[in-house]
Amino acid sequence: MIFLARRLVFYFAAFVLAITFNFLIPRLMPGSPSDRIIASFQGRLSESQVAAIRRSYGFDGNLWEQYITYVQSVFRLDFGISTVQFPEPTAALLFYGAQWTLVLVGLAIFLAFFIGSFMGIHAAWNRGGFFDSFFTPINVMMNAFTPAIVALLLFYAFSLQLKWFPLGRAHDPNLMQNWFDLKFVGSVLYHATLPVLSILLVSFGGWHLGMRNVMINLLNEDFVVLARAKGLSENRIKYRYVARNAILPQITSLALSIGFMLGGALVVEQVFNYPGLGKFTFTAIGARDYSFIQGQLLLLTCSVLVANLVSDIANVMLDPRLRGR
Amino acid sequence: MSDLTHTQPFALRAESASEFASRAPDHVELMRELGVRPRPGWTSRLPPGLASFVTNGKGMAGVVILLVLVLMSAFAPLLSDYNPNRRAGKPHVQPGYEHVLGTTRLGKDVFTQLVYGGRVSLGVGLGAGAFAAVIGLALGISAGYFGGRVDDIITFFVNVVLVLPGLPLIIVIATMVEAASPMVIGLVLALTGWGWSARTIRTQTLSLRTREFVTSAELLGERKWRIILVEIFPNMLSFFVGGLVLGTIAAILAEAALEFIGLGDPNAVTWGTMLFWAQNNLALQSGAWWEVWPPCIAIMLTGAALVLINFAVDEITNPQLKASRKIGRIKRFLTRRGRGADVF
Amino acid sequence: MKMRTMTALGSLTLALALTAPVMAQEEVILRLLPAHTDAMVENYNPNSPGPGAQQRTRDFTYEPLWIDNVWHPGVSEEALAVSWEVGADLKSVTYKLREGVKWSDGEDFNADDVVFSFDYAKANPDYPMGIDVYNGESGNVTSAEKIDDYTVKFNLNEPDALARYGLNGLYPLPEHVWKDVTDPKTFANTTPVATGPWTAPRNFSRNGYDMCRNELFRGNADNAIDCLRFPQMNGNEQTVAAISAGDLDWLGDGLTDPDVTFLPQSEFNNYWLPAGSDVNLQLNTTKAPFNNLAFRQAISVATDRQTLLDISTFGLTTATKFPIGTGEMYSTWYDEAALAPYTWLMEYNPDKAKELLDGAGFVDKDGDGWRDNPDGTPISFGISMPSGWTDWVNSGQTVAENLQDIGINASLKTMDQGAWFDAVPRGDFDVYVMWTNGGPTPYNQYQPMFNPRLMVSGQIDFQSMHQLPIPAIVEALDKFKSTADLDAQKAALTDVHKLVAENVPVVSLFANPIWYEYSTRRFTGWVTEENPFVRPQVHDGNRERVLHALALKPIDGAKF
Repeated sequence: MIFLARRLVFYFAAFVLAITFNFLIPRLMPGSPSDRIIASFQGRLSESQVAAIRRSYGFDGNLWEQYITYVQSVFRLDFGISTVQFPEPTAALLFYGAQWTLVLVGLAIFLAFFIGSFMGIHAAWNRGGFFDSFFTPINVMMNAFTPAIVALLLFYAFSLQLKWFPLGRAHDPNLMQNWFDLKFVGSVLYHATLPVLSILLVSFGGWHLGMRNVMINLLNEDFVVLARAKGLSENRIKYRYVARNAILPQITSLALSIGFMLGGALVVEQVFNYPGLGKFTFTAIGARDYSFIQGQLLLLTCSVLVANLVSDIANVMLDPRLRGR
Repeated sequence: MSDLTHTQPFALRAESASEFASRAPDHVELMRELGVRPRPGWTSRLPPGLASFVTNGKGMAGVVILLVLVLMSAFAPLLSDYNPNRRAGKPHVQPGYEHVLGTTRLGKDVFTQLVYGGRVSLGVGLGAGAFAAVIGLALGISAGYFGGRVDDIITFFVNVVLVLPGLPLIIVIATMVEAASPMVIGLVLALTGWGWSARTIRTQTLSLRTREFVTSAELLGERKWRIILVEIFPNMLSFFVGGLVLGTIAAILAEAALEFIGLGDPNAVTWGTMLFWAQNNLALQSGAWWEVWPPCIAIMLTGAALVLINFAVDEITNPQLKASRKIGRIKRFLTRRGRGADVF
Repeated sequence: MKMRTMTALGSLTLALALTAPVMAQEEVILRLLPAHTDAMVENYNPNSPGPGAQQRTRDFTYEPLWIDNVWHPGVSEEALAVSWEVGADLKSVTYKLREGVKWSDGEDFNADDVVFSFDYAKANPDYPMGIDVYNGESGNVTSAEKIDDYTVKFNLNEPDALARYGLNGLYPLPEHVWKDVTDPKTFANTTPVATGPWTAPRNFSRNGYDMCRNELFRGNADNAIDCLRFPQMNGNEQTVAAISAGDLDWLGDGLTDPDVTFLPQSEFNNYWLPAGSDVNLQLNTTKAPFNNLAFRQAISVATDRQTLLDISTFGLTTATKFPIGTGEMYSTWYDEAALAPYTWLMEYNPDKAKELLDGAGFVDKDGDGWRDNPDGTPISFGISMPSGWTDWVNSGQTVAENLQDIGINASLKTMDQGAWFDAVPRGDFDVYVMWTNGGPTPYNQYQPMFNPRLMVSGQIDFQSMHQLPIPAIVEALDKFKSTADLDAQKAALTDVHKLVAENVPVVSLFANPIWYEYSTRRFTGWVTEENPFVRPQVHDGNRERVLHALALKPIDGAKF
């Protein structure tokens, strides 16, 4: 429990550091949302209006007062108003973007996890076989093909040329959002196919290799030898004994990936015009939409910290050696 | 990708293998049946770590690919007479004699941009990877070796860096500086990318610190920095190289991605900006595939080469992970001899 | 061409009416995209300071007092006002309002609404209603007076024959709705009450919405379009595919190589790119070497404008004829004979440029291969460009190469758009590429360009970045402003033109196109080169766009 207490202290410190950082970022970035608003009117604003707009989008008070106000608003979960999607509350936009990011990145992570892990199990069990010596390097190499390239090529081939898949959006705009409508869910999956594939193709190799390497180390452990000696079936040993133990470190990594999930998949969302958080954040940074940037960074930091905490707790529960420390 | 390095010490298999070998009736026959060629003489004169790398097919393939890319970039001025920044011909000229890989929409020579771009992309990637690996090594060893308060403080920062949201943070930083030149991007990537290697090396150092050779060096009164450099560092080499390789992959990919979405300096000629321009000037839609494919393939080849090298490093650190076809042969061999192949 | 993306930060989702009642006759729907956006926001506030809402709501839903038909002055310009009169002392403008106009909720529109709108603008300076309200320091319109139910008089602080151009663009708000709105800039106005042809929003979702017919609109008999559909879209790949597939009819995107990437996609795809406002190099004349006239002239003749037109901007821009900071958009105002002596400044002539530089003492003194200032200090500067504005970055790169060819150490300097905007007011730059504003008369362009109040560090305007005060131009502009006589205005403007050409505060490059793409799949009546009845673009700022929309008629048998 001392271990967990220490971690909690760390998380609190990291949280304070993170919100301080979030607070400072807009104040360090050059430019302000008013510049973009003024420029968008292309000379149709009078001098006095320009001055008034600059005033109403600036920061008031000294830095310390601003900081206190900001911290209070964080704890009230008040993220302010987005200036890009004016006058939408940032919280509503974050929620909207988050749901599509969860669909896109969530699907990609889970598919990559399952496909990669199964391939890893298979590769480790037949180490040195054709599958292992051919697919292990190939899959891992695909990890080094950036999503930018894969997305670009998939988009060009299947969306622009063959027109098998749509050019953007998260679902058919003619369908109203209703998660209980199969037609709507189908449309969501159809629109997510290529973006998910772009992430999946460059990420399952990591799970493959991770699973394989842990499995191989476990194959020599006593309990495997014992299971063999008992004459248990190969499949039983493979899945019930070895894979089951090997998956534990994988699940820790999975928790961390889920934590980072809300960062969105910027490049993929950009190429496929997918309305996820990455794309919103990118637009917000360009437009100096401070409330959105702050809100998104806060959301992301919190989800990463929570995921870390969950994986810590899981580790303590699963690994008795950590409990006493 | 963080799972690429593994730490479990390995002893069992080597023993059993030598046991089998000693029982084998005819050494030459055995080697033929197993398809093992005698070791060429020169590799045996190399240090064992290097020798196992040189004899590792994957690793050498990676090194060769990388070397070709590096040499092409290094000798860019010899390979092309064009200026990568200047127009060299008409827009979108097809690949041909005048322009080996054609020209871009603005009439710049694609091959010239590719080789000059490699200088920046590879340089920044390797630089950022090396910088991050050095930070990781220094902090990891310090934390692991000194322990106590030093360890607490360093571990805190490692954990903070690990939970920092990477890409959004890099984007914010890139917009804060006036122009996100490749150098700036590389620096930011290095400063945010050392977390994993620091953590791995710290864990390794912790386990080494209590080993006999370190303890005896301490008892002999060796100075701390000497113990770190002479006793601990050599054992960290493979983790350091692993961190370097992974950091380089991450940096090259991140740089390309940032430039692709338009956050880089479009003046700079790199593989990422080549992609950015191709995408912006709708090269694919206009049928100018030669503007898109070369930077894509260069980035993918670099990534593949580094992954192969990392495989080799992993396999040397932990020979169990080796996935060579030979193991398949050994298995079949053992089965033929009526032995279980379970040890594998 | 990324100008458009910047002005256009909004977009939407189509919500096709799954639940809509079955119509006896098919609805006629015009699909248009005035703004790109990542997600549609339910905001129908015509003056919302966030970009997006005004792009879709102005003109189509809220009407201005007057539509300045820039290409055909005097033709079908009446909107909520039917006539205007400038006071004899040029210190007032009086509008006669249209009688019988109803707000879409049935209330009468009258002078009270206009007076209210002015007072409202005055009370809420951060709510940009587009009126030059006098605030004791700047601005000019002091008050709005109700003369009778359908007559409003605006009083001015100083005589100004051009004040009506600003006032024309007032979009009156219904007093009975807005009098209760205390913070107009954040007011989303989800149930718009307006007078335009389409005022009834339908099926809002983040993927878009429809704006349907105002049953009380006076021109309904001639309005063939039942609903405007604003889909949410972002990115040229998506919009080009959408217009080719019939998901869009009217678009205003900056396209690369439209003959290759756009026209072949569908037999119905069409585009026309008439010349829009000019693009200039703004030289910071408070610094050496830009404070030297010969140096500025040398930059102008060293610039290879043909390459800029053909290659850097993909052949879509239009050449600018005279070195006067404005282009073909105002060609009717040129006095060609008076400007002929200055055309050499627009011709590519590197030798002439070298000669000018040598003559002014800009030679290589330290032997590093680059020219230095006459006092021996080295010259090295960057041409600042927002990264991502592709054609401009191309242009900046070309100009930098041209300057390098004559021995000037210039380079392209790209920066994030926010940083780019940020550096302007402080005057923290060497050379910028900058658009010009446009507007009904050239005065609208030159006024901000030479207004000394806009050259003070901290408040430098995008147009006055050169910071070269030329008092004679200010006088000529005052003359222009203080007469309603067109010939007198032209004479004053020719003085301005000549002064600009003599001083070269900015270097004219080319005229940006007016972006206009359309599909003939469902509608006829589009603006074409043969029938240019109004400016054709779909974006806010072009008040004629509502005339364009109302002129469209469905093709028989077209599917909606």
